[in-house]
Amino acid sequence: MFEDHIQHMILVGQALEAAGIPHVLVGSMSSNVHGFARSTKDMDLVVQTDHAGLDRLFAAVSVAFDIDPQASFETITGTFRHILIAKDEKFKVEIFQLSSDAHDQERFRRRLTVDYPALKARVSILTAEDVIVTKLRWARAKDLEDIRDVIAVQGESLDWNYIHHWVTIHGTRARLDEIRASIPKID
Amino acid sequence: MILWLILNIQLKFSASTLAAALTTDRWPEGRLNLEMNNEFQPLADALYRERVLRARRMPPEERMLDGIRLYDQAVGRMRLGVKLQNPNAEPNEIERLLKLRIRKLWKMSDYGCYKPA
Repeated sequence: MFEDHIQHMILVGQALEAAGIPHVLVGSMSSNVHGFARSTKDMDLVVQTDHAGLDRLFAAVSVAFDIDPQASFETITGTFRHILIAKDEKFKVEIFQLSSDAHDQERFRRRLTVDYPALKARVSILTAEDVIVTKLRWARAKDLEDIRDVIAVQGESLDWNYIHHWVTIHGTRARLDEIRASIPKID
Repeated sequence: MILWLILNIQLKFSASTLAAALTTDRWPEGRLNLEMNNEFQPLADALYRERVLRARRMPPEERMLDGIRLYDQAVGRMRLGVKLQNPNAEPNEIERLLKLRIRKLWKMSDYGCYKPA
């Protein structure tokens, strides 16, 4: 089954590349890259494309995925979410359209593109700073744990000026400070 | 001894988190309280530090793939749970019930984050 999930990810990654759709991997897969590995039930992607681009993407992956006909709104930035459910019904891919939200735009611009041999594709991921800023806005229990882990694992390499800029705008600075204060001394 | 300490930390951590969630307005509903009983804090910090150092030694790609492995293992345990609850069910029925359980998990995880377009 692990191999099936990887095949699903390879298919989506290659379809995005073939369709020339700019994208970034967000959600727990992105935070796993910068923090601790935790169980990941899906692949979350932000894409910069129009409806025609989405249709091309959906057609390219339809051999392995069913498209959920009911799109939904994500409640933080108000963007659209489309769900692709693997035909074995044990894995899903969530596709979010890039919104006009200022931080959504900025994190997309700053994304890192990395060569991941296991996925046979170049994958764009969020920076560690943008994982922290994004998860502070969502602030579910699992997000707060992820933030703590990303900060601990990344150590001194984080750009705190950048993080403080956005958390001030979002009003999440107190939450961030409380999480930082809870991290034991690592080095 | 170490297992006993870890178990105690987890129990006390869960209890203090639950108590904080019920009694404080510092964190809105559903938020994590990261405090712990002082007695176990040094050991918890040492365990956490070890986990961080181990994560730093792992290639980032491997950490991402580990997330998928952990999910795969969780689905395997869910299948065992379904089998235990339905000892006479055929394999096809076990898979059907497993898929229902996975859908429920997805729905719980999405709760409050999305609305129909």
